[in-house]
Amino acid sequence: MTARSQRTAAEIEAFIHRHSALVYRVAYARTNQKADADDVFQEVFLRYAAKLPTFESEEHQRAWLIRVTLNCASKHYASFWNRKTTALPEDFAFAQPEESGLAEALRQLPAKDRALVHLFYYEGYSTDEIAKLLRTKTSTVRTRLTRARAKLKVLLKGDYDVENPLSADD
Amino acid sequence: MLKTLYQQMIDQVKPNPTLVQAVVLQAQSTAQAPSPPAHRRSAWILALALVCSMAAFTALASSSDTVYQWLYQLSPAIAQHLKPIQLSCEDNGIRMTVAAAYIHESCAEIIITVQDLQANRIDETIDLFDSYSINRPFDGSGTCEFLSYDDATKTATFHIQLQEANNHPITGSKITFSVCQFISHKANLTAVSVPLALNGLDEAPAQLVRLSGWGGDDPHVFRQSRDRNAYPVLVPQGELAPLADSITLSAIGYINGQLHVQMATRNKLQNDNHGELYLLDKAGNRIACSYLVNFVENAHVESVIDGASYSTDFGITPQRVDFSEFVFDVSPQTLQDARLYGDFTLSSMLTAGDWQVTFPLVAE
Repeated sequence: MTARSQRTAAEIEAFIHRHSALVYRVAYARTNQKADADDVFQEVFLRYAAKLPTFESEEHQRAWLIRVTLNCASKHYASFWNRKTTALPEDFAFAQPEESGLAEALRQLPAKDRALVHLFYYEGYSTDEIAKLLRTKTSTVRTRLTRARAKLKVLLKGDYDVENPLSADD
Repeated sequence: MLKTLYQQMIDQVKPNPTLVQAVVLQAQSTAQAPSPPAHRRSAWILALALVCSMAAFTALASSSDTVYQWLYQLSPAIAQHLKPIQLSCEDNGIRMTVAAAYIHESCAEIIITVQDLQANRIDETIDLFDSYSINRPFDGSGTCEFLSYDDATKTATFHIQLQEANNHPITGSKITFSVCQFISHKANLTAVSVPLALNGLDEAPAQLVRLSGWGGDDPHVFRQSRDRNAYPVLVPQGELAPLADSITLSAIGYINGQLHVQMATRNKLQNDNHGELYLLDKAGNRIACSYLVNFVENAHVESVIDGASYSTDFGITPQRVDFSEFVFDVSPQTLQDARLYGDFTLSSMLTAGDWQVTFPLVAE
């Protein structure tokens, strides 16, 4: 939980710089569009600045940022404008063809599943931790991760070893 | 491996520095937007008192356009709909009152006031810092925003916002809001110079710990050989230098070519004292850490709840020490002319009590 407190301009700048990669990557994983990730990134830190919450730990702070980022991305999708418009094909130019291929495959997953893939494979959260973070059931997380893995395996045409995420879990 | 490929791909996803800088400026502007001036704060308190004496705020609006304007400027989204609750409890000379609430769809807006009836323990820096809890008949998240402080009545006002998970409409009959402690009289110390020579630092003894948190540029933090359950940090060396009240520099040195600076904080969960370390180079340029990790010592707790055993390595014990380790990508050459500084936020007063109010939940 949070309570507004006083922060200096330098503290706010340091906070944003420290967490910019985390927020941006979660936003990108959820939206899969650079322009949308830019919007969500901005929204998350403006929410932070408006509330200036304090956190009991870095873990709590990180969880808050991830949750707010996913909420902002969800609302971004839900807005009439974004439902009725098609994003410009602006995206990151990945260094390797296989990375571009993975980005394209991820684009075909449901947005919520992309977020799970990111939290599991990149942020290193276990399915239990993701469930707590997203306030859902562990079984739901595991089912969706398994489904995402299976779809990626098909989309990547077996070029890569899409390991069972549950076997890598705790 | 999908994991490796995904990490390589996402490592390349970064916000444009121009975007980051623009967001920093916007955030600073938002955070430093002027607080309501004194007459408006008083008006807010006055208006809350009035709102609690009336059946509905709409009636107030019609009776006092001026107060309505003040309230509207402060919180237009909720001002029109607040309904009086006015339920209080008192402990340790502090009165907590749930003044008004507004339940709409998946969101609950609640205004509470906290008043010191005996002393001067409340000021404009009051912070509930996770010491409050909200029992409600639904899952969801909540935030608590400080609205104002009135020195004449020693009363602080907060806006609690609860959001039901999955955006389902809020259902149920009541909410219980409780607070067990708060901190106040907070002070910010900036650019505190750390009296420590940084030249000649070498590789230092490391240990593997389970991280309680982390932040920064993630690719540095978690890679195949870097497990958050066995992460290399410096071995604490005692008090190398005092930094601020209950905060000390506990170790410094290189691990795998990166400078680690370790800060130890005692009673962090009680006083929320915290800080950030950074370097200033010869030209006075600020060098921020690339990332930081957190871990705790002496915090293992085992307990039995309803017959089931639980244990945690991040429990609250009198001996608990919270460590933050700031990791810098700087060479020993750069360090020769650099100095270590810190910004700290300290609280000098912790007030404990048992304040709890249950109030009816009535959606519009």
